[in-house]
Amino acid sequence: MSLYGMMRTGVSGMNAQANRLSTVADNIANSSTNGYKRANTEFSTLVVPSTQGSYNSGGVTTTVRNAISTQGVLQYTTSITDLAINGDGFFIVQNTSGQPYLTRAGSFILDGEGKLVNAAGFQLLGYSYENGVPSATANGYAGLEPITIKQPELVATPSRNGIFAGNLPLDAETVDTTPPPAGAGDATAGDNVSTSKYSAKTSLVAYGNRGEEVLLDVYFTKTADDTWEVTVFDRAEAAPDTSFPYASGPLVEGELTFDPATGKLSGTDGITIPVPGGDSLELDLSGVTQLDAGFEVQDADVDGAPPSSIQGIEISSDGTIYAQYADGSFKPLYRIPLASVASPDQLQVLSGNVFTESATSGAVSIGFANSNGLGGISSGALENSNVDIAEELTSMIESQRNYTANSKVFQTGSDLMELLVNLKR
Amino acid sequence: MSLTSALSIAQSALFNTSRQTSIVSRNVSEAANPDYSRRYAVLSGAAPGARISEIRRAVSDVLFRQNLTAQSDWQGQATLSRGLETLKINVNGIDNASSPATMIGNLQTALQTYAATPSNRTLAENAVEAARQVVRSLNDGAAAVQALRSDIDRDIATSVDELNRLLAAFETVNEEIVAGTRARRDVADAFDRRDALLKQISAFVPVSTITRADNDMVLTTTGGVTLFETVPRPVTFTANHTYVAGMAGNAVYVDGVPLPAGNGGNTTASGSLAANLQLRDQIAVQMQQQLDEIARGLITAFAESDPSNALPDAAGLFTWADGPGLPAAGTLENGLAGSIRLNPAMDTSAGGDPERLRDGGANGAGYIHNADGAASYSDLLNGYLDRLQQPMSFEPATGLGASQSLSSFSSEAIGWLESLRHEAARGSEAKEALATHTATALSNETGVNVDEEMALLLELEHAYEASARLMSVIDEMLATLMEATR
Repeated sequence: MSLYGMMRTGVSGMNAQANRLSTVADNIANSSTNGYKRANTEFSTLVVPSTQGSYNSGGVTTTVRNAISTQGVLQYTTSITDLAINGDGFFIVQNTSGQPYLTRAGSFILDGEGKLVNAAGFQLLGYSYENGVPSATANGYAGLEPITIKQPELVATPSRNGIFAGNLPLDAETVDTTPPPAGAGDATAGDNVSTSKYSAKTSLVAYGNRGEEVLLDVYFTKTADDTWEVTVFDRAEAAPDTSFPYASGPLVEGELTFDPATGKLSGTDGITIPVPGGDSLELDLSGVTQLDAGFEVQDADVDGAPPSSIQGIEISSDGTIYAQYADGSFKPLYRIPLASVASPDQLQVLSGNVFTESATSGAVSIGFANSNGLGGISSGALENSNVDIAEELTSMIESQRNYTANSKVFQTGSDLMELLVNLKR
Repeated sequence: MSLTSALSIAQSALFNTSRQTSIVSRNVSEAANPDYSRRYAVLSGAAPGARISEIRRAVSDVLFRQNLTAQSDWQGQATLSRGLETLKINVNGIDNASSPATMIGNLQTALQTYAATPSNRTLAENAVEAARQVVRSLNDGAAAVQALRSDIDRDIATSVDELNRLLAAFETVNEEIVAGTRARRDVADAFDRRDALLKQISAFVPVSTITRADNDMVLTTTGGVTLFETVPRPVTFTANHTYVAGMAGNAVYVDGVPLPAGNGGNTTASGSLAANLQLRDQIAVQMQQQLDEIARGLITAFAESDPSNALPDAAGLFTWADGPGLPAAGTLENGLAGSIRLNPAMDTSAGGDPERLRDGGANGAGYIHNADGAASYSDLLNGYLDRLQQPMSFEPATGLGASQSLSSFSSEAIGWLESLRHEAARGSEAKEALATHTATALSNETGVNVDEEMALLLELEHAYEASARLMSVIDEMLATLMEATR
């Protein structure tokens, strides 16, 4: 029970409110900072020993908490390298000296070296696809490298798989190969002579090893009821206009037999074409039917791609960064991991909207987006700060009042002290 | 929920409304463009606030395909109809006034008049003059048919060039669509361009489409021949500058497969190329053969004979390049209509004597029937008139009766063309109606309805006002709070 004690309690109250006002000031100042997490001030009592009849006032201590686990509002932008996490998790970034940090500020741009750098200058880290599909190292930063989008060498993919589906006409005229006088002695496409006859023709684009386009002429020749010959030629060797005869024989010759009951293929349902200057192409013909309709193509597709360079990048919601090539194909380059800790709100807050592990936060574990409770990555969006101005203003008013009240306590103590001093004349 | 997030939602609502308004204004500005499909925005919720996820384009694949087929059919039929009209005017003349049948009729009248008064030399001149008109009609007709064939050939060459150009343009647009679809860009404009190109391509050849992954399109003709698959397939054609009778035209090759020609008056041809091929290789050729057969009939009917039967029959009033021998009976002689001419021995302007028509002897004294020069001799003239009415055999490939008289053969030739023309005109009307109908249906489905857009605009205006109002209310609330902070 002392006047000094009471005055000191008033001072501690004023200090506590000043702390709170400081966090409010911080929050308001950073209310538009992407990835900023609001700071909260929590107070706790400080009690000093008292005896019966003599009470000693204590004080108040301040703990600043950051609402790191509270999601901010996503704001959509037009840049695809603006990233936001919708849910739990942090991007892993490093500063120029290579020290890893966690952040939710995802306004990344490509710098001169092709690295993704955010507004505070931190580089985004990820796992590279260079040595196959990456997997996350659960409990450490090993294997992570700064994501670098460079213009790599041109990439070409040879054709290996294809599909052709369609209908061969049931009433097509049979090419009569029986020699005269018993038959007409006609030549089929497979005989490759200028008088070769065929029932239907289609052509497909395939790609060679170096990405060169190879046009394949595919001929279907009805040789008997329910039996068709299929022959594939290289267009580059075709004679003008009529194509026949080709400079060399067919690349592959096959026979298709149809089930008369259903009009569907009953024997082999594919051919393997050795693409000139390329790989062997498995052409799936299982969708070919022989029904009483005209020649019709229902599907024709061959994989492979011509050589092309990166046109742009795309980031999927699971964090994979794809390079988009000029021909429209995609190739994964990096995968962006997300980090999480057991108690995100207790992470240590550092300048530049970054966080680092503290003794109480728990250790960092790394995983991929949309798995193990981690959120998804939105490309073309930013996470706004989670500060609400109205809330900050109300707490500011409250703090102001509390501060005034505390100052009244101090003033009262001071007045009493003056009274006491004046007792002695 | 906090005031700040309320503010952010109101902001995104304003942004969405203005994007939608820009789509509406684009729709309205393109309302008159037949190749434009209406766009609309699809909003998807993204907490908090809504985000425009994509701009979609009104499509109706079924109607579009029907429209393509109808357009191809109509183009084919219209091309045939126009070609037949040209043939009719150039060969038979207006109201068939210059047709060989009319001219043969005039010749018959002149011969009858002459046969009634064989002593009148002026009537002989008249008959020879009528014969000259027949020759001219056949010569001109044959020339017109071949001229039309070479015109059509040039037209086909131009169409093939244009088709190759369109397919090349198709490749560019298709690549743009595929790349855009993969990158999730807005490729609605490229879709419009691709559809417009498809419409233009279908005017030349009938088109079937197959859509592969990423909106990649494969084009085949309705006969299954590949027109476009990743790269355009070549459409090749070698034009002939001049055509003569009996000469076959070159085929149009699509991807190495010859394009089939159409058939019949209400043609099976779809697209102008097939119709042009039909005109060039079937109709014009048949017409030429009919003219050739009429010429052969005339030379045969007016052939001179030796009264003593010692000499072979020889060409009389009408002769030809291989005269005075006669063309083989019942066999088509290609190009005869072009080479038939008046026998100079009976042509006054070439120093001949028209009375040889009455007396015979154009091929020498051995062929004179009226040896004593009787002025009233009319047996030969009546014989010619009879032979014009007697049945003779004609080449069946002409499409007309194989055994009939020359005058009925020549009138049937007119009937043949007229019936083709009539069928073609009727077919053209029906196919045009279908094309117009499907185009209207397609436009109703995918075109811009300005009324609808205006109604949407009103809605958007209200939404914008509401969002703006929301913002001002939140602003006032914050201002109140600020007021409290003193």
